[in-house]
Amino acid sequence: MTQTMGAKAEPPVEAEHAGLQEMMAQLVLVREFETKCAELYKAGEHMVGEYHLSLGQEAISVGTCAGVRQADLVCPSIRGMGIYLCRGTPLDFLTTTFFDHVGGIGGGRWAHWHSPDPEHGILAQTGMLGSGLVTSVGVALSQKHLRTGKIVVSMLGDGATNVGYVHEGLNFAAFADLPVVFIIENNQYAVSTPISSVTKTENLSARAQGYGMPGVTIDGNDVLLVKATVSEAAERARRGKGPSLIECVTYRHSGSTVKDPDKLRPQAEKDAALRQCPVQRFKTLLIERGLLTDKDYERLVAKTHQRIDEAVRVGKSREPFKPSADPLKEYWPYAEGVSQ
Amino acid sequence: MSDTMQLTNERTLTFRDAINEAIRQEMARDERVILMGEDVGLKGGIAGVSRGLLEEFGKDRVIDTPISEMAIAGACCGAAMTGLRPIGEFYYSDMLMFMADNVVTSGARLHFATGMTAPYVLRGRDGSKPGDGGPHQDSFAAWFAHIPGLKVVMPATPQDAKGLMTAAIRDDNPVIFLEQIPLYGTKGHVPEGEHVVPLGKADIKRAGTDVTLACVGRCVHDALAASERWAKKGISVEVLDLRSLRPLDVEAIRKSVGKTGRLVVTHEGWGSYGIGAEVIASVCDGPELLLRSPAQRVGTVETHIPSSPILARACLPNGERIDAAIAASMR
Repeated sequence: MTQTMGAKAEPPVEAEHAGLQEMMAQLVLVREFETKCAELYKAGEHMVGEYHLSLGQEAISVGTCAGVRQADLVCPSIRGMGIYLCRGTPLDFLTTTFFDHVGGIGGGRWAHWHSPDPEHGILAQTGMLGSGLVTSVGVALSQKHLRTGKIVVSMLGDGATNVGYVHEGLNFAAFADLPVVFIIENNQYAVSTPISSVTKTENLSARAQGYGMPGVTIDGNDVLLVKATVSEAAERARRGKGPSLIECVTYRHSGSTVKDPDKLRPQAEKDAALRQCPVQRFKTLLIERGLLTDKDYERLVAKTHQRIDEAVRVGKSREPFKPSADPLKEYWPYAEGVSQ
Repeated sequence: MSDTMQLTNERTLTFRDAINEAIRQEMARDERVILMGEDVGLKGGIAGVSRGLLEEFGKDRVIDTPISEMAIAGACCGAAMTGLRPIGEFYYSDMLMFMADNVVTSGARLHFATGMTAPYVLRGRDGSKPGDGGPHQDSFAAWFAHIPGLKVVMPATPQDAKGLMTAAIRDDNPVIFLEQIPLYGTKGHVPEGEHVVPLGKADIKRAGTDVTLACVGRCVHDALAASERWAKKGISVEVLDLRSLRPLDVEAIRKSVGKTGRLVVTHEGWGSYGIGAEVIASVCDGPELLLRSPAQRVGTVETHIPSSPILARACLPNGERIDAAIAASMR
């Protein structure tokens, strides 16, 4: 890696305490929300979709959202539920969809982990890995062209980095100096296949050099480092200096999806990853700095559980979808509008 | 045909310049319209369609891209989702296959799934290009016409090319705009000012009473030539230019076949699961029986097109094959 962004984790004393507390709350929210969803699925509750859990990777969502402005646009990876949670998508909007009920995200038309939530600046996902990346490049193109002052965050897993789209998309963003930050959530596995077994480069961020953009590999479980690095890349993009590539190294605590029994990854590796838990690390940091007590943390978890339980209750209580009597009319795929 | 008959004082343009004029007028009318693709700027496009646009609108709106069809398709989709009305150029219809995933799984699905709109046009050269052979003379219109949420158009005349391009740019959906290579140099009358041909409307290029010859793209010209030959034998052929493949103008097709009772369809691209199959099905599906003789398809024969132009001719739709199909329908 010849170009780095040189971001340092900012000392907590210099940051606003409220911001730190908010990040703690978001880490807990993502952790507890996904844990609950996995439990519901395992308990045999009717839940649609291949929920791609981000347990263990929460610092990336939380740090990224903290590192950009709320008006900026984020195109999450398929493991991106944390982005929805951190950007304020109502919890019952998500749970309603899990139960296949009316009134949730996607409206039964698009899987919850691909559904845009434009109100919260979440766009451009698709189940075709890499395809969403080039779409997000287009989103960045329009931000530049329309001079919105917004930047785009385009996220992908390590598995998706080997899709041909990524080569075209990174090069396109670079040559056109687009305001975009690419974030690789490197949890080290594409379902069952270790990234190291299919990719020779040690740091995926080294690829940035080939596109003439800065690239850096960071500890993706350090939420403050993620925030600082993303923030620096975002402001660079906002100044018209073009894209950056940030590789956040992490490890997922569960299978690839709720349906994945996860029997192939070595136990020792999983145990080691738990010791690097991003939620516990940040909690310990805040306690050491005197900004949090164990009691505060317990209260936070309890409060979060209440929110989640309420969202689950609301989601469950909503009406199931009814098959349409006239699906062509109801699901007509064309916009009727014509530019005036 | 009417477009090549130059009436006094009628302004004529080539097919190429007619598309250029539509894009230029729309770019002047609406700042959200941008053009991107390989060689669209300095060179003015591989087929010369975008000549002069870089000079007129600047490099922010006429973007020379790397050879990256997947990125061009994605950039068009993403930019269209967020406020622009992009036009993306591909070199050949074959390169549309690189674009296929993004436009099918993202662009075509967007409105259905989210209520958002993706107003963009993917346009470029399509179909046979005598002498170029290999994978550079296929027509994949039917692949894209298969997809709900996409619109697919293929003009045959300069006038329709301008009108359909204008409509495609203004449409709030992704549109695949296919320009058949032999047509670029053909000339015809083109209205000077704003000219819109609605998407999804077929056009009777020559009225007739005995057999409907539905056609699209460069095959419209083969169909018109065939209609001349058959007129001399006392057979009146109605040449119905489909113009749009999705939406397909089923009403116009059924109306014509209701009158003639006979149907021949000719187009580039393979016949099986193809445009002809769909046109014939649209006639057979209807409430009443319209055909009084077996319908005929004249597409590309069911093999790959040889690179030699001499060999290729026998595989593509041509006058002999159209005549044989008309003869079969008249038996």
